[in-house]
Amino acid sequence: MTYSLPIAEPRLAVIELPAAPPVVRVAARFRRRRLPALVLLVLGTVLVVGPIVGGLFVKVASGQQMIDAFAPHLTVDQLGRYDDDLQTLRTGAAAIDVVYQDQQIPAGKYPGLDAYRTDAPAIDQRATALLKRIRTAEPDYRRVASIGGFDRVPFLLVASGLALTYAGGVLLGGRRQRSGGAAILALAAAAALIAYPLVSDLPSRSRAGERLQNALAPVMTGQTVRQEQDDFVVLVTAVGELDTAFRSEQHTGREAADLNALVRAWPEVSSDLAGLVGAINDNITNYEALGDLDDLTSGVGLSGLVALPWFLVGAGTVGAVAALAALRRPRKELP
Amino acid sequence: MSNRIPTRRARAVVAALALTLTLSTAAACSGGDSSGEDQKRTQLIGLVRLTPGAAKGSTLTGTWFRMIQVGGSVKNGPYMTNANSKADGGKATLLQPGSSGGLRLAGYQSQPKQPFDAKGNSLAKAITKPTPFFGVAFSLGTNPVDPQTKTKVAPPTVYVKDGKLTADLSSWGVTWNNQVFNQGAPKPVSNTGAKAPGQAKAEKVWDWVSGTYLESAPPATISGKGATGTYDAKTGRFVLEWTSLIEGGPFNRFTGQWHLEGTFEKDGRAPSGSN
Repeated sequence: MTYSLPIAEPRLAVIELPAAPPVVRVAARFRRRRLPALVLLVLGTVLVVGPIVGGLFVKVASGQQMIDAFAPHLTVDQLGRYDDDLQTLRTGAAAIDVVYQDQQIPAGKYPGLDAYRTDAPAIDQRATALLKRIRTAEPDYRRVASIGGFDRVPFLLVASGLALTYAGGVLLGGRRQRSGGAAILALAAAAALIAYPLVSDLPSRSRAGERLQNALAPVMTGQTVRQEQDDFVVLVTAVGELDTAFRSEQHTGREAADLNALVRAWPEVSSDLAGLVGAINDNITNYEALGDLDDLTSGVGLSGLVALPWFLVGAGTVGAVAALAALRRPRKELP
Repeated sequence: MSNRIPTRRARAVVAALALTLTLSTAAACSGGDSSGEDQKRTQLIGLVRLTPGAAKGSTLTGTWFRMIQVGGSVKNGPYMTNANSKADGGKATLLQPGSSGGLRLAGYQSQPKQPFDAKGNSLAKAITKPTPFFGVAFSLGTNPVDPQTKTKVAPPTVYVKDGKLTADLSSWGVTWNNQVFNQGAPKPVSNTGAKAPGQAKAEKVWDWVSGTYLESAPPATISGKGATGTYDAKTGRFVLEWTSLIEGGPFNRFTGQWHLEGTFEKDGRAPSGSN
């Protein structure tokens, strides 16, 4: 059993307090991270202006056009046809020599064939060397041709540059609410710059491009074209005589078969030769433009083609670091 | 203060537009002389019925062609000696009129969609018959878009003034052994240079914008001299000659010399068609 005793509550005196000033919540001053923003701004500007001023669009498009133009000439079938063409010319030249000796044909009777007999070894040597060089370059050509979207690299640079510039601008002087989005945009652009070369295996393929460029250097010249044209004139004149006046000469057996084979194969041989020489001639300018791209970094002793993917990765990394730094929650300072 | 800046800019823009308009109008007015020149000459529209080529020694008549080697000249050669031709020791190749009878003026005679057979012989046969050239038949066509340079070109256009002909044969193209060569005069400006993705469309848009709003002349698509010749209005006798440097391809810098003879048959309409 419990008991409770009534307790009298003490009576408190009324206190008059002075009116307190209203409590106002003071917003923390937003302190911008200037360095990452500046880095993004400068990097973005370089990525936008660099490709335009350096003519990267045309250089890369030229390289792509050259790769496309040689595609029909570097198939396994076509390279095999070139071998067959050269073999046909060799056996034909040997057969002409045999008939000349057997029939004791005097010099001057067939001027076109005389010229061919004189020049045939050199023509064969030049054509064989040309074909060997092209065949040797074929694996590197395949690797370069398999680069997806090579001619869009300048667009990637410029688009990323625009994104980084925009992000840098917003972080530097834009509205605070947009800072997070801008940093994420910069991060995405930087990620694209890093990802493209790595996903497309650009470092190894651009090294193949440099090797291809060096391998084709003796081929992609006006002098080569001019020499091949001269050889073509000698050949076409000789085959013309074979197919007309020279038929009156007695030749039988293997020589006759070889000469008939040459005359019969001539349309294909001349078409193959003309196609290849035409591709070389029409792509000399493209080759030179690609050479200019390779020379862009020659000042620092680097191949531009080899440096290109690492430039993309480097720019992307710098951009990503700057974007991440900008993303970090800024310190708040009380007034 | 801040309100003044847009006003200044607006003034500057208006001033620039006014200057552009004034300059373009002045340029347009100053180009008026050429239309006056056009009025003095007459365009021939119809068919040049070609006379077959013929040779007597080194004298050539009718319709023929020579190919001059790199560094050579029309007068002294050296010429490519076509073993399939007996004309002038093979230095010239005689041409025979094709299924249309010759060259249509003011209309195209395009090469067939499949221009070659399996051996590289040309299948175009409207202007001239396919003609053997180093063992492979070549032929001719006039195409709206030149197959070699990828440039839009005018159809064969011939004007006569006082019996003298001037012609735009920029569409004149040769097909031989799976190769296409422009052999026109004047020459089409090549449109085959490397272009970044989207560049061609951007250029088209820019050409349209500059042509429509800035009244600027479209970019030149031809360069060099045209063909020249003579025309007798009474007999219809027609002679047209020109040389054309091959630009690009395996025969870069070789030169074609062309001589067309025939009779002009007025048609009164601009024909079109293909081989």
